[in-house]
Amino acid sequence: MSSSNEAQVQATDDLLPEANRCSRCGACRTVCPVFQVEGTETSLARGKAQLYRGLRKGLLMPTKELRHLAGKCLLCRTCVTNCPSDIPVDQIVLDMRQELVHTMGIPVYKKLLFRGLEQGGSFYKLGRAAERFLRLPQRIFPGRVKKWLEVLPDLPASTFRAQLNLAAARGMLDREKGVLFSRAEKRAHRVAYFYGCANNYFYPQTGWDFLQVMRARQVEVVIPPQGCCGQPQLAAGVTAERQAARIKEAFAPLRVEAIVTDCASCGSALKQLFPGISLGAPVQDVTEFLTSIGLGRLPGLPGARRLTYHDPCHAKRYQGISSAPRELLRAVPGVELIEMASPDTCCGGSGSFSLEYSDLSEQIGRKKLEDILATGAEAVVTACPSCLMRITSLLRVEGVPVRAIHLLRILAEAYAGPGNPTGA
Amino acid sequence: MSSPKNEFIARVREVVGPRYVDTRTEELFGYSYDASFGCTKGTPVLPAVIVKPANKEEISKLMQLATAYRIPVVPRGAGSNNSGGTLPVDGCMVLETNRLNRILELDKRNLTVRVQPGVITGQLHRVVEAEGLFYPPDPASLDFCTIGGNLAECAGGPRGVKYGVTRDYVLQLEAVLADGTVIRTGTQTIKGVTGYDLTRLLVGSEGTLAIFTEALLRLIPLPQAHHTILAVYDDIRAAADSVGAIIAGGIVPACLEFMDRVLIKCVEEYAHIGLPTEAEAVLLLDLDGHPAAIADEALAVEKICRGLSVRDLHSAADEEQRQQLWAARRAAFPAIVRLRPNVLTEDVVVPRDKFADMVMQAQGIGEKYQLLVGMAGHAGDGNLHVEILTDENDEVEMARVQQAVLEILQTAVELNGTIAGEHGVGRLKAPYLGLEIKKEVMATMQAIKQALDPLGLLNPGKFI
Repeated sequence: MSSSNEAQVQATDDLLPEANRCSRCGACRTVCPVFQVEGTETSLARGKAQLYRGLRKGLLMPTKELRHLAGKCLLCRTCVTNCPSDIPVDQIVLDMRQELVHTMGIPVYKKLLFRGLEQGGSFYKLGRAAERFLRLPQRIFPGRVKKWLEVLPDLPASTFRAQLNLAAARGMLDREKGVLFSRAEKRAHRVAYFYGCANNYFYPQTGWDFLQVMRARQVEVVIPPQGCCGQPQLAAGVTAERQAARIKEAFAPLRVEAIVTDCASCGSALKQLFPGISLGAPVQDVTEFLTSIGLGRLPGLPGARRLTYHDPCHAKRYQGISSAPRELLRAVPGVELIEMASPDTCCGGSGSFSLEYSDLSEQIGRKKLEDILATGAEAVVTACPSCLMRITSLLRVEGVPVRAIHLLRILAEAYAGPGNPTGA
Repeated sequence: MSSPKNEFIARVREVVGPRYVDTRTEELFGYSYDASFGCTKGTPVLPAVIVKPANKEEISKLMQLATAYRIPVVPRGAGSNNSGGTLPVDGCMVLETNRLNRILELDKRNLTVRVQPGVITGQLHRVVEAEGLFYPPDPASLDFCTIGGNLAECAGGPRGVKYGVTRDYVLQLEAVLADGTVIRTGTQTIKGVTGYDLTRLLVGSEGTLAIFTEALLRLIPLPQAHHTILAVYDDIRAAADSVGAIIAGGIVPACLEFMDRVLIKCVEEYAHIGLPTEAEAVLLLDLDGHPAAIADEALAVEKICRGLSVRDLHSAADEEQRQQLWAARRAAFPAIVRLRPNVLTEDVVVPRDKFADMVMQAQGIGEKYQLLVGMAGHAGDGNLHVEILTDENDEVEMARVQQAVLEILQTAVELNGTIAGEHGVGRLKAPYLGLEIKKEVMATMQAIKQALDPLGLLNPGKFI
């Protein structure tokens, strides 16, 4: 059967034998970012494994409280990497969430959010209207809404998709049956681009940077119509069958070398849903793709830049990517890469976690912020819009003149050359 | 409706503030276990309340309340002990001391450090070592276990052979007794004989006599250099003889670790570090001290090992090579836990010259009961960890495991050793205490318990 179904089978496997293997040694106490802030057993990996056993063995009832505790995990996998017994705590947490969705259903707001992510355009207009409404009289709203607005970036005037369509209408991109093409002068490679919801709704600039970098490397980019990668659904314990089917329909017929994404979260979801070349071509993170083809001639930045790099959990621990982005950054003339204390510690973002557990997310992020600021770098670079969102918000709240930017922004500037600052 | 229990919890909230009190079932569930074997099997026993006090004043008030309402109290640090020392009893108050987590004073002139119980052992190591000082006790869980737990269990570790265990580094304790009285034991000085040695009484008392709120620990200068030697043997007796000869030769390594054939095979298959999988024993030695002295000692050790038919000898003075050799030891636990769902670790100690007998008899017991048994130990001090790999849900096998455990402990006692070296007695080993402790000694201990905790509120159901 299709790989999407395989993924579902894996996600619903009963992980009780795995949870039973947890010796409760406590090694997760040293690394769990949630535990570092909360200090409670149930926030900890070994606590999660025990809650899971409790639920599966009927010793704990599916309650709102349990759902709240099951939600209190970043799925950052740090505990898994550090666990002497290799307990797949992330899968255990996901299975617990699935079980709770199964017995209790999903909260209405999440249902609406997922629907919205599938709908695309109309949802965005609604979101923008809501944002305008909320941003004006911030003081009259409760703290929680204020926190949400802190986390979310300002919405751009239009989505990346709308901007792409406009560019196609102006003849800057080719269009064939709804599929857009960003042509290269001399075509050396041909890839499909999965830009993901976060770039579409929040960071269209990253999408344009992607296209610019690809053009500079003679890569033709195919951009089919697309929706959500399924990551938010999987993380919430909801199946991503519909998303997987749509993605397959849009990407499988494209005849490309790779399906490339610049969102670490989308990348890990796509790789999970479509292992190997089950999507017709391998799914690759943009850093993987670029290191494989090389950066070619890179004129360099307008001036020297002191940068530090943050490893997204979904890149480091879900896709094993950590050297590629550093290689790319180091290859840029003018970049000085200063490593922070623990670059692969979770920033606390974790998608909707930053909204649902906004205070906790912020406190986890503060540790990240300290590490970033300690480097003295002028900007923190990463390769996941979800991390960008969390870190940008922290920097803004803290009021420090350090920027958080996607790696592609640096590369786009470097290709433009010292004489051509591309702004933004 | 206000039951005495609810009234108690309400008053507890007043003492520490509502934020630090939890009674939600799910949260209580998270405190129904520690790292002891089998403790999550079956229906969990839940405490009535989790309390996280901030200081000794609060702890004193909590104990006064516990006494007034007759609520059992289970003190807890990281909950990483594997003897069941922090398992709750029904309706108890779990008193977690992790908020008392400050290093209060590092005194370089007197070589002491004053700490609170919630300080993490590894963190203390880093802080004192940055000043060129050394706190030797090094339990395997040092990255997450707390000093409070170390004091309660009298934790040891590989460095025990040369440097001793937790009790050898405690000068003074501040503790809260069952009725809420705060006492300070010991002296700030190395010497001091005024009265009974209550410090030694409390260290290793497993939370049954008092709750620690502060400790003054003794430090020593940090050794300047290290040299590590890995020796592989085809024969356990030859390995054990090497240990005896090294010590008899006047050399006391900082660590002298042992792994048996099962562990060697597991470690090699897991970590591929080049150990011969058919070897019977591996010794891993760490010499520390002045560079010139340890260079001499390393030569002497190598000579001794060669004279006792060592199969392979790897010697490393530089840090990178040392870490490669230690990788073998570090891989031991992750390597074996993959073989079966659960692992039960026994913690026997025998006089050093009986170490080989203990290993071989334990191997025999494992074979007799058809169990997969791996052994790692601190050969230098005779402390052997017998790891029985099993499945707690396999009732038939568990019956054999119980039999094997009993015989292993009996063997240790017969060899003039002890059934618990550094992991505590807790709930797990309590049924076996009679193997080693004579009736009149037990009665003496009970008299002490009766005097300090007449209501039996502190950590009930453990060794006393």
